[in-house]
Amino acid sequence: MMKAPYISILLLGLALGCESTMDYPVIQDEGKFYLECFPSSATDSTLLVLHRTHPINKPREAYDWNHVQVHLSINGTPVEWAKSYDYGNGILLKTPTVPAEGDQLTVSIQDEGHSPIVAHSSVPTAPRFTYTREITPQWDDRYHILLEREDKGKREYFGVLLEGKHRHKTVFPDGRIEITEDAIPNLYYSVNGTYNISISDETEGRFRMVSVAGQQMFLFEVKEGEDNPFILNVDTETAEDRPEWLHIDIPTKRSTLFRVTLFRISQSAYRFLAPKENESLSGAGLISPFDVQGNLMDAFGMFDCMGGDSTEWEFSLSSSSGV
Amino acid sequence: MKDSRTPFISIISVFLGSLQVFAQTPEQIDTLSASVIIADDDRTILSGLTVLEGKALRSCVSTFGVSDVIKTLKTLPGVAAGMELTSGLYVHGGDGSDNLFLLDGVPLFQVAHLGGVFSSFNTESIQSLEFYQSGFPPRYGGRMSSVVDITTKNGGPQLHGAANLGILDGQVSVGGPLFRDDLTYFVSVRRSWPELFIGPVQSIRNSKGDEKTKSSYYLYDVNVNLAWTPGTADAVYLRLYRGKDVFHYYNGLLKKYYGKEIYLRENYKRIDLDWGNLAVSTEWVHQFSKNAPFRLLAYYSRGASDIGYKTKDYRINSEETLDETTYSGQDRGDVSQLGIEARQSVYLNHHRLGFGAVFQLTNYLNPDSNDVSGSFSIFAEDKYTYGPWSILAGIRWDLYKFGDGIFSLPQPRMVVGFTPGPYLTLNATYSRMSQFSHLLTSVFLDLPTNRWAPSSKYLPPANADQVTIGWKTHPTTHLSIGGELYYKTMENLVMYSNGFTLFPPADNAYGDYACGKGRAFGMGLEGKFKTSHTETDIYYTLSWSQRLFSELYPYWFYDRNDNRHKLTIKHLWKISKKVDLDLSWEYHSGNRITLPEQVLIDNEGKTKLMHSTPNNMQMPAWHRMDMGIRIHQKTKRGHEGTWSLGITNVYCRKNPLLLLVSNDENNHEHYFLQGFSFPPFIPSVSYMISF
Repeated sequence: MMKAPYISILLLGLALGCESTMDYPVIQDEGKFYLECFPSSATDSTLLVLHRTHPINKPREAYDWNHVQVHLSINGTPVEWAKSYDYGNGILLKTPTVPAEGDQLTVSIQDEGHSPIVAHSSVPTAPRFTYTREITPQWDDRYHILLEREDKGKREYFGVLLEGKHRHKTVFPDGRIEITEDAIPNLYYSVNGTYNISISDETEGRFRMVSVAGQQMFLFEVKEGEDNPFILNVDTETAEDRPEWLHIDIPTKRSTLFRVTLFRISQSAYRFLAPKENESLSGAGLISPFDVQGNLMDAFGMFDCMGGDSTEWEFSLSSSSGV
Repeated sequence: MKDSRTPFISIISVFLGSLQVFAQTPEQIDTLSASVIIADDDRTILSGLTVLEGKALRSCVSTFGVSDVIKTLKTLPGVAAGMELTSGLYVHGGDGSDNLFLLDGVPLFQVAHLGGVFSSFNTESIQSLEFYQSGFPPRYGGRMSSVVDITTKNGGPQLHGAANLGILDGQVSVGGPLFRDDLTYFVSVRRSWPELFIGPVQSIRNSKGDEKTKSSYYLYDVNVNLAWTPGTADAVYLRLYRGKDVFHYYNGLLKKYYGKEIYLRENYKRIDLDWGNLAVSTEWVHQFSKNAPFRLLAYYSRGASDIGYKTKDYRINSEETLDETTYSGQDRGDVSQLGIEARQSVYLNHHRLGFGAVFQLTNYLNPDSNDVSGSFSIFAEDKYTYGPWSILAGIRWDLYKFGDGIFSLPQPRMVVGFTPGPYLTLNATYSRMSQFSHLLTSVFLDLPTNRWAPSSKYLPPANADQVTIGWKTHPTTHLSIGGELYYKTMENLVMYSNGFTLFPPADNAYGDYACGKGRAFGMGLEGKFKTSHTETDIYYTLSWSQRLFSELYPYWFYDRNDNRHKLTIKHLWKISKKVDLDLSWEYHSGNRITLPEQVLIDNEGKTKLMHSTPNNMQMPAWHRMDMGIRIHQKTKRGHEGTWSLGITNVYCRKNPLLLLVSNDENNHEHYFLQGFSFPPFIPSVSYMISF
């Protein structure tokens, strides 16, 4: 709100002075790899996104990804990747293998003419939580997650992933039951209840919504000394959950399954991910170099394991039962 | 050195010519106010101490015709220049918020006007200034990088005054006895009037079109000092300082809205800001004996900012009538401190003992928090001299409490001086300084949106340890050369770590701020050459300044004020009795900034600019020449009048203040840098009359 007038005044003052342009200085000659990989025990698969940057003062060139070898090992045992997608300037690798709590993971990237990039990480303990459920007078489904803190004197960082899918249950006249599920492609959610699912706690502005491996995740930190347990509220509107009809005699009941996964993340991962929410003016020379560029040597990005645990519940208008 | 006509900085440093001062006894001191200064005088053995007299400050080459305390101090060796024309003071690798500014012993929280373009101190009200970069006496505490101890003028026995009229500001001061000889007053007022120039320009612009923009800005300072000396052993002072900036901005657009009828309304945005300082103090000085001066000071100091904003918009609704949307808010920041300090000095043969205590209660009021912290400090020192040796040893102990956190902060200090002969002096110092207030800021500017926050167990008090070795030679009566090596480490520095915002969250200091370390080392050199008609000062600094914020980056990186070289040359030529000409040339290696060095185009086609190391680029070297001419004349009534003509940036150097990354409109993948700088070649003129 206040940013634009301030910057306008500042730049106006400067514009009244002198403006000059200059060529970009040569800081680096070659591009670098950019990697994002956050293995976790609470996910269905492990994803690794790998890109190639190019120096800012040089034009972008096509990169031959066939020469690049990416190796992942869990406790020394290699894991097979499958190239899931080729973006042209990057690739997405996927494996159904997920690590367990305490596992040691190593990733290495090798390319012709470059020394390998190696990073290590171990899977932290999953956050412990309990939950209770409440149907609000507005028929919203409120889900209380009570986070149990390990060490109240220590600052901890967490991420919350909300996923949803619709379940269609059809009961045919012969008694046969057919259940199909499809993911909700656009599960809009927010921190203030604007959309059909929202997340909140007692502290306004705590959450930072960022994209992690292509999924929207809420990040938050729990400070030293903060009260225990920490309560997270997940509210879902249920207006969408109404029966559908395949045929007038064949009712299909649609319900919605929500899955909440709570991740424990490291401080460095939080520092890396959180500024993604608010990236601006990083080159102005007016502000601190806040934007953390990862934990890799000779590359950008982050390789860091998350400890995770999840819970699911199903909601429908006619019946509601936690799973 | 003590020539009042000198237009340049007078520096009294370690031992230089100070043997006379050192030989002074309290009996030689004429006034009680002087006794407070001289009795606590450490200039004889302290290195890193610069003493400036008020007249020298006022005659320095000035920007916009306004002489400035901090800009003068910034030219000294050991001090980084920071951003051009701003008032940040970065001493021995410090970050600008770690300097203790004392106005007659009262700490100030807000020391800059107009985002740092001017400092809060009206030089016309200043009697003298002591600037410590090292060898801090134990009586100073609460900040960790430097001490700027300013003494303002008292009225004196005769009516006197001065008035100065410049293009952008003016000031008037007057002092003298008040009704009786033992009661004196001094009043000084300064006010700026840039709106006189901004207003007509805006009126012309607003005369065309439906959009109107109005803005105004001014600052003022008021110093009022009352002094009462009821006897030869007592003096009582009452002092008031008030400084304020006021800024208004309004942007309105007259629009027609077509609904059931045609509505003519003005959308607008307005911002109202004011910020400043208030300091009120009373001081009692008493001499229990000729060798035992005592000082008791009680004060209230407040730095506050008030930011109000309001927008009004209109919209045609579904019923084709007009809906009005108003958004307004207020953001207040306020830090106030109540303090009481008692200090006793005792002179015993070769010893000068000093001890005292300070109690401070500080209230930090921010939009989402209201915190109170308390501190109790005691200090003791002894200056011992024997032959060529001088030793000042002491300790300050701060007991600080905030919430359920209690911190005990012992801070030993020591200065050792050695004078092997009349032309050479050597000294070494060690000092530990602690700081338990943190300035939360998200930009490198002195803005009213910055907030002070107390140290806590999450944001612990900052500490600095520093060792220095200094020397001074004066091989001839015309020439003096000195220097100082320093090494300093700092811990619990604070850096905002969560993106760009003008309102740093003071309530989440330990969430959005990273704690880190700093280290700085280097060397400052100074040379002075003086003849009957010329004075030349040369200051050079070779320095390194680094930071480690492990949460953000795992390795040491260069601080933004890591200027490897800094050189200042000042020259005064007294052309005649009526005309002085001075030239000043300053140079320093460019500041460091973080610039993107790589481009990432992600899987969604979004562009992200990447850097691998904080502060990875050095801006172009900064240099500038300023020139001033002063013409002295007597008025018809015998008063002294002085015309001051000045030019800032004589050769129109475009020193980039900041760099922005831009890309070509036609080729988005071609990046270049846009540098913005202040206007080159700024002339100034002012006239001062004194009586």
